[in-house]
Amino acid sequence: MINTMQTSLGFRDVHAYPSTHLRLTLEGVRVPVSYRKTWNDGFGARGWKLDIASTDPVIIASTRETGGRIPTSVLIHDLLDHFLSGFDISGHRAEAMALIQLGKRTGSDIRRDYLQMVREDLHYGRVNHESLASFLPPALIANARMDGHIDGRELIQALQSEMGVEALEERLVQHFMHLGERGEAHAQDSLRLLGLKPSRCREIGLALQRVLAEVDQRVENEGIERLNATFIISNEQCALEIINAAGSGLRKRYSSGVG
Amino acid sequence: MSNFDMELDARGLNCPLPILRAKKSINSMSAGQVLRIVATDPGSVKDFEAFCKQTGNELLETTQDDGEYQFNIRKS
Repeated sequence: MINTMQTSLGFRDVHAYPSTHLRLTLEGVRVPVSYRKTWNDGFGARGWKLDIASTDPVIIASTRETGGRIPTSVLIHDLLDHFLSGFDISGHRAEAMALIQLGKRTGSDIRRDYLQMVREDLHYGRVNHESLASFLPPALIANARMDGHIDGRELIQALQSEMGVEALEERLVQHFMHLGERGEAHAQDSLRLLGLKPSRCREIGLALQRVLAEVDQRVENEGIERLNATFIISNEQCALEIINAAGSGLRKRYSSGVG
Repeated sequence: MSNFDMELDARGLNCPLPILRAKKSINSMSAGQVLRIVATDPGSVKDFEAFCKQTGNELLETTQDDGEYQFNIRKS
């Protein structure tokens, strides 16, 4: 039985995903993705999105490019650490939990990512999918002297005045870490429900990245405008099946063994 | 005297992260202010052109020097 936190903010029940966005087959978990040379989404970037996230206004398309410190692209992070782990694709609470999964499978120091969200988002009073007041721990809010209703920016400024900027940053990073760790059991349950071994996530992530890198390079080289495809994920092999490959110069399927 | 109001160091970041971080920075700025972005990803040139076209922000200047790209964007 899946963890009871599944109905809380940021959590998703992987068995409740619509079949248009996830299907379990004998071959593995099938997840549809879409490619656009330019997404008309307010970012305009080239790349891929999970179909479940294609209308999410805060999700930007991802290419094959990896982070400087981690061997994984944003798309594979969204797929493996968010979607298959049973977390929303966007939102700071979901990101806190997904980053724990990323850190485990890549060995990266996620405190830097948490600190970046603190400085770029929370510092301005911004939290996706909920208010800053609901995101912060009640014990922390109690530190702020507030007269009546104040917005997120004013709340942060009040906390900075009480605690100092550095102490508040450290407290918020700790909060991200705490939130992230609360998702650990749910992620493991979600992956197992999909037939995936949590202990294989590192290798699954690398296989997914290899497949994406090959296809994305070809798509970019050929100047393809748009494409639909499906990731197929199992403990043994990962593949990307191109749905409308005809006339594109692409093969129907690209795959890579899992370690 | 600088001709920008905020600078974003996106060196070392690959697509789509420079755009994502630029959008966050612009959200915190006032209309008319200029954001300078310094990036190293060659793909950022096309990305910032498309970004400005879609958002209505004005791409004032793009320069390249020694593997670094600088973009000046005025918030609409």
